[in-house]
Amino acid sequence: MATTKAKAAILNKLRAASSGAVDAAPVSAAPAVPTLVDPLEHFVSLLKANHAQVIQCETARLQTVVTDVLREQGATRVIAAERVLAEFPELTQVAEPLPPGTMEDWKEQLFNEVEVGITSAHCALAATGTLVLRPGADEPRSLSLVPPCHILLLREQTLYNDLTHAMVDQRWAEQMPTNMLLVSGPSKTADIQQTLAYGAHGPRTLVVIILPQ
Amino acid sequence: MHSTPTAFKAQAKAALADPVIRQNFRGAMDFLRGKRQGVFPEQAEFKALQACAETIKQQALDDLPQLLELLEQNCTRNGIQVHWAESAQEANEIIDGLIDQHDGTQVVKGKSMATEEIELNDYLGARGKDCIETDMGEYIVQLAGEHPSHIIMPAIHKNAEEIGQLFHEKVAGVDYTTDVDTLINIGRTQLRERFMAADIGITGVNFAVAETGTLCLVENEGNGRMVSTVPSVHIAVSGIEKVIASLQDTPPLLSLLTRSATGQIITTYFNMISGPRGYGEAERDGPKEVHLVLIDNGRTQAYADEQFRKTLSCIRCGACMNHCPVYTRIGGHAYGTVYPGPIGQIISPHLLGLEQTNDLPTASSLCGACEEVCPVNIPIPNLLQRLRRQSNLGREASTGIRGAGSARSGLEALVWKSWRWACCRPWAYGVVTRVVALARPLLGLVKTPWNKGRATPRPAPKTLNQLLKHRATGSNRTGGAHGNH
Repeated sequence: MATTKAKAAILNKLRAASSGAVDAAPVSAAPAVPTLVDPLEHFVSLLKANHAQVIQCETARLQTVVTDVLREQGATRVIAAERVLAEFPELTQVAEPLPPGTMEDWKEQLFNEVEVGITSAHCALAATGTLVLRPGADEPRSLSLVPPCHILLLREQTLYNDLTHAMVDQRWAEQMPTNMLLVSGPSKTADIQQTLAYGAHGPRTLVVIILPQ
Repeated sequence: MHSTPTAFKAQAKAALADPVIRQNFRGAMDFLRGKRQGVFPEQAEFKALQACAETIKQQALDDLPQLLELLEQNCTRNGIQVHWAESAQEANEIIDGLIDQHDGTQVVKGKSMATEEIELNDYLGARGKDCIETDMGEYIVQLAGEHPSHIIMPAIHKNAEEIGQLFHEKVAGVDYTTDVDTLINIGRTQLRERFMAADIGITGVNFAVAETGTLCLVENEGNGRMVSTVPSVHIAVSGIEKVIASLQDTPPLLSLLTRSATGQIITTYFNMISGPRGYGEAERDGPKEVHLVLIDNGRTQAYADEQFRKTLSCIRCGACMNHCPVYTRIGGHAYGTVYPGPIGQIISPHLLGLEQTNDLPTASSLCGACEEVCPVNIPIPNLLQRLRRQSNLGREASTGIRGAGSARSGLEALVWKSWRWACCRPWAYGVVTRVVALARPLLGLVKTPWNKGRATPRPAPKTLNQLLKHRATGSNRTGGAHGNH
């Protein structure tokens, strides 16, 4: 196969060139990201600066808060990830699960009808105002992407100082899921005359609801 | 319209004379420089991060063959199919073959300089396959039938009026507007249809992590996610130099990339893809197949030379072009290469050979701004000087770079040779400079490239040698007079 031949040729050229080369200096450590005095406050202010709506609320009030957001959005078709509905059964009052089957079965509905997707955050990073998403069988990748409004639920205790902390502490390198995602605001672009516009291809609106322990 | 590096001088001249180009780039470069400065408040922190990134990339390059094999192993384990291509042609054939294999008819693409480099759109277009660009900037450039003028902001050469006019002409039912939100919304509406209908999605790769077999994509718009999530096949295209050893190498590189490129502490999305749908659990969406195409296309040539190997550290942030006084004035199209600006000037000779690109290394004042802001510390000015030497080498030296010696001119070489000869012989030097001083009135009449737009320099009536000799005899006389007292 052509690609096997190409592989051998490329690797041979690289090996011929690298043999006898002096080893580079050992990797110098990255400067530590400063430990934040008030990580939550920092996290919230960065997210807001990036045009996300941030709401902190007691778990008991979650349904009311979500209902308010949905009313504000004028949303009629709302889908929550199964993972979210399992953890917060009260949300079945305001959101439905995805239809059965795979994306091929509900792609058109997702693009044309669903106005809001509700998913969970796996953890968050204070230093950059970032949410870490870990899609899976009970939370499709596209639910946080295709609907124009995305609601993300975050447990406050999963807030890390920064990306390195999170990946080391949770040992990501041992087993990466098929898809892992950092989200730091609604979709945006500055491709026209450096003018910032929100809602380029992904959600125009990102609502982050932070729940206590 | 299609610019080429061989016509660099004419293209640069045309760009300099175009006030719209000048204004669009000036505005954009000032904006990006300001943004970058805002997120690197402390030079010491930048330097520390730069040192870290430089060693990460340097080590990855030292271990490149092993890391590429490890990447393939881990990707394969994760269900990502890996393909290797020595040339642009091979890469295009692989991608075209994959599309055929899936009876693909609708192809959408996320922003990828690697696919610009191999001219994938033209290749597929010639085979009757439309490949739609989905990054807003790339979409605009494709609608206009142009190429990107900047590696991060492809449509930076156009202002809102020009884009409003373009949409009005090319998109059915769109009125002329300069309102950016409206324009972006038009793009969004057009492209959502494409995402939904597409069967193949193509993206680039920012970092390929060998340790975990993970492909990382950095973006703000969400089109990279769409392209790598919705179609049933995702093809990622990457230069072989994008591989890094471990997942823990990503945070410093990501931080430097987004801060250097657009002055953001992080982009909206950082997508880590480690496999197709359901590889591990019963997922309900995501591509059913993920392919990685690894491209050489001149990179092993740069790799073979210890100095030029440094160019492979580039993380494609574009800071060097944003800070380049030449790029800021002539814009990206004048270079006639896929990668414009300082980084383009040092990598294009490897991609295309020096025959076609030997004007590029001369388009620099060697001010060093590019090296100063480079997040991985590539010594760009040194490499430009090295390329200048390479392109002027005579037959006496052969080097690994294609087209070495192609800028050599016999006349220029003779001038330098005579100059050297005269400089080593004071008597000859004296004769030559005296003749030049005597011929002074005539020199203004000689037409040289120098006096196009510049006043002709006139040699002094007396040579330095004569003046010093005169002064020496004069002072001897005074000294003697003193001694007589």
